[in-house]
Amino acid sequence: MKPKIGDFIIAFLVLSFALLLSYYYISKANTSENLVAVISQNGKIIQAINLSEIKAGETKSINIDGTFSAIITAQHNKIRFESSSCPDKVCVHTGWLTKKGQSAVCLPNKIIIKIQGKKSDVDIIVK
Amino acid sequence: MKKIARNAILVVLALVISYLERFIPLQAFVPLPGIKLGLANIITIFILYFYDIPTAVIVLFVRIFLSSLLFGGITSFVFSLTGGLLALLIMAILIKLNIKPLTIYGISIAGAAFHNFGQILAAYAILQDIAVFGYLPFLLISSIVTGIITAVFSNLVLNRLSKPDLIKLLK
Repeated sequence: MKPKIGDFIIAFLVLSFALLLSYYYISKANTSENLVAVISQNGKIIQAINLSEIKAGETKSINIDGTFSAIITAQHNKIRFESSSCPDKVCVHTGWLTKKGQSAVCLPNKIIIKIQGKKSDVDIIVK
Repeated sequence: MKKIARNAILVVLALVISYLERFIPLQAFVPLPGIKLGLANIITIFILYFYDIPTAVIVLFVRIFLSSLLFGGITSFVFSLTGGLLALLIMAILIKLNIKPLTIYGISIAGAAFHNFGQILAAYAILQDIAVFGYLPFLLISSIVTGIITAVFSNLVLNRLSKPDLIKLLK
């Protein structure tokens, strides 16, 4: 007995269902959780932004002064160091932070951006 | 041949196959917990082709009961039974429908896929956590491969036994 067209259809159905389901889970995993970016300077939290509440297309900018000045921009579910006057610019080169647990650090300015999940103990802006 | 003797032989064959299968280190190649080839499905396919659905259900039930008693436990009983019954159901339907461009390969793949689906349903019933369905895509993709392997063996068995004299003897 050799496989016929019906066998390939069944294999294809199983495969496409598997892919659909995994696609659903991946897209759900990316959007279901609120991402909160916590910006701290000199070890103190200066701002916490809920990145999931920022609407798509909207941009928030935060200017931070210090030894050097830095501009942080936040968009829907992502945040980055837009620019910094520090010499090495490691923080800018880190690029967008999009997932829980990621962080970007600007050592000369002692600024840290860290992304946390919803269960953050930070829930309000303090400055 | 007396039905009870015939069914007993089929149960023992299925039991031995599912026991021997435990020695195939499949998890070394595919790191998914609980993955297996499902070679005992050969017996189910054979029964569905040669005998009837009640026989297939009885043999399946007794095999899983004994296998859980000997090697597994109550959880393996629940998992295997829901998976096994769903696989049997879909294969019985496909065989009864007698779709011409469909062979044992497609039937075996469908059986393997529904077996995994049944196991996930059982896991969901026990754990009450929707997250278990996230594991299903991996199992479904693996079921295409294991389904083909089972089909190759079932094909060998059916070819050997598809001789008129033998069929008369087996009935």
